[in-house]
Amino acid sequence: MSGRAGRAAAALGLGLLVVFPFLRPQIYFIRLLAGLYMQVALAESWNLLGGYTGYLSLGQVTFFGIGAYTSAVCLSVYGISPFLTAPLGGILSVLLAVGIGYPSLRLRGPYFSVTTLSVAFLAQVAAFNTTQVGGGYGIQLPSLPLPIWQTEAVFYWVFLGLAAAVVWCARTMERSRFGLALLAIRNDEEASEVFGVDVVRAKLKAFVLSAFFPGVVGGVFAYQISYIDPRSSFDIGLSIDMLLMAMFGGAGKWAGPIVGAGVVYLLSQTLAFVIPSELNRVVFGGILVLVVYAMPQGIMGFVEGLWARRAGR
Amino acid sequence: MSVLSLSLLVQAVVSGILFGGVYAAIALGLGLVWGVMRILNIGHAALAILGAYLSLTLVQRAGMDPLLSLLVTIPALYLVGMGLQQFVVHPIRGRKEAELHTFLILYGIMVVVENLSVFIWSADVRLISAPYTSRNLNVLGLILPVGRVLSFLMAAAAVAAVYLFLKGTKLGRAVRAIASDREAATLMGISVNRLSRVAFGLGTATAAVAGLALGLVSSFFPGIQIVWVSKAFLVVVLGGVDNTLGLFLAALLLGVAENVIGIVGPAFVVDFVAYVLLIGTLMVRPQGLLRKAAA
Repeated sequence: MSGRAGRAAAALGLGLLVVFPFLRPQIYFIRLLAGLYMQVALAESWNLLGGYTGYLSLGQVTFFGIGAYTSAVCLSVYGISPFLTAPLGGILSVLLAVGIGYPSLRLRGPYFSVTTLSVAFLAQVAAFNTTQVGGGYGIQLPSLPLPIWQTEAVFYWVFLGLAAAVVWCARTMERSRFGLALLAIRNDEEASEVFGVDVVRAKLKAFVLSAFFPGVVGGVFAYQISYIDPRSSFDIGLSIDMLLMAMFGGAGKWAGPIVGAGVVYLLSQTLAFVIPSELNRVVFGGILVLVVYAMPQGIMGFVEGLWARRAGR
Repeated sequence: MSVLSLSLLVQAVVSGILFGGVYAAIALGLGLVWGVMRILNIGHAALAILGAYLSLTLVQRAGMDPLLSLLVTIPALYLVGMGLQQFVVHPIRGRKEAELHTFLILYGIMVVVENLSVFIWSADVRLISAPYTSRNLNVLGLILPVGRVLSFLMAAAAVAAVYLFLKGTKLGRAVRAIASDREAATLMGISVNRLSRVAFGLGTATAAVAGLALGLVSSFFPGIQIVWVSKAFLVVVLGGVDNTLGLFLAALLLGVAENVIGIVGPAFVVDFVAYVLLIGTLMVRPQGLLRKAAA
């Protein structure tokens, strides 16, 4: 798609999504789409590091949880709206990301993955044991002082805006020098270092970006569900979902997580009616295995491959 | 220091050593597969927990002695490991991003194994016991529960067996050969494929022992595997990959550190000990603390 036509199509699509709540659909659909946008934002932020560099963070939910707790504390103690404090959750996430990333990103991939997984677990333990934030009971929050329909619509727009922001960030990054440096790291880290890429710095920068957005998203999510606890805020399953959606759609491509989140999220929402939740996870673990096995470039890569084959004929 | 607190400390150190055996048992297979195949099997602890559930089922349903259950679980997990090598790792070996893809697939398998375990056995907390495991031995004034002693002995036996296999047998030397140079090993007439299956099978089979050792001393449920895999990872990092004895020492060290800190600080701080050690080690000596120290 050429630049101008593509931009026009994107603007039109986004415009349609913005006016969707005015069509007065059932609240279920507004909520469903808001959830989808949240997943797009999360999967895309995983993609910023994992997709482009191949350093797989298994602990993205840590940042989501930090964001949720930050806005919950700010609202319940100081009465400040989460819409104002959500960026603070992002900033705290960034600080933690630097703390984790600095030691572990200097090493090869698996070290980083296991470290992030461990940190996610620790964050949950910490939340359980910090009575100031409610310990295992969590925090109950007041909901948005608006009628239900307007409340749902507000969250719909906020999540749409967040998803659009992360996608825009990934797309811009992909076409920049920085994005190329990240792809070079994924291809051959040593070679890219020889050719002058400051690999540690580039990886850390990507990790910081990919930590910021989940922090913000978590802050908004806490307000939307108006109750948080360590179990849901630091749910390891959420980390798995982010990785799976990005991989399924096509990791390392800006459009990948949109496609992947669309398919996986809608599928999981449907499956939730049919089978018990632990089997749901079994299915998604199995899908991850199959995707990596048969379609490692994701749906996007698969489609591009078909496209290229047709053009070549 | 008063006599009372000194004896408390000694008790804590000894309990820590015994508990460290579980860490050693889990880290053993993780380190073996990592050292030989250069694959970090993140699903290793999920398989160990699966082993614990298999043992538990054999004990509860078939009335088997926990130790006898190993006769079933060790071969079963050996086959699982061979299968992973044959059907998961081997087919994608030639890919450009083989390392990344293998890790991702094993992660997917971890998710499947964990949640299938929830589905079959529920997320309730379990413990493996036999009539004799809750008895106490009194050795020189120290109180040692039989279950803990048994768990430690099993772990130590597994470590010794793997060590002797790698150092003392022809097959073990061939496995070490593929660890150091695959191509040269092929030229020497070693069947890399067959030995890779042996190495992965053996590494996974140790998870059966680890699962039982774990189930005897510590309550478990499927989700807890994440804790165990990250601690086993720490032990391998501390002890050094392909250093079986270093790994054993590192595991005991972790057990002692956690136990001693557990009696001075609040209980949940114990969970942080391993991670502080992990982050610290990664920053200072990523090649492992004990790598050069032991054989």
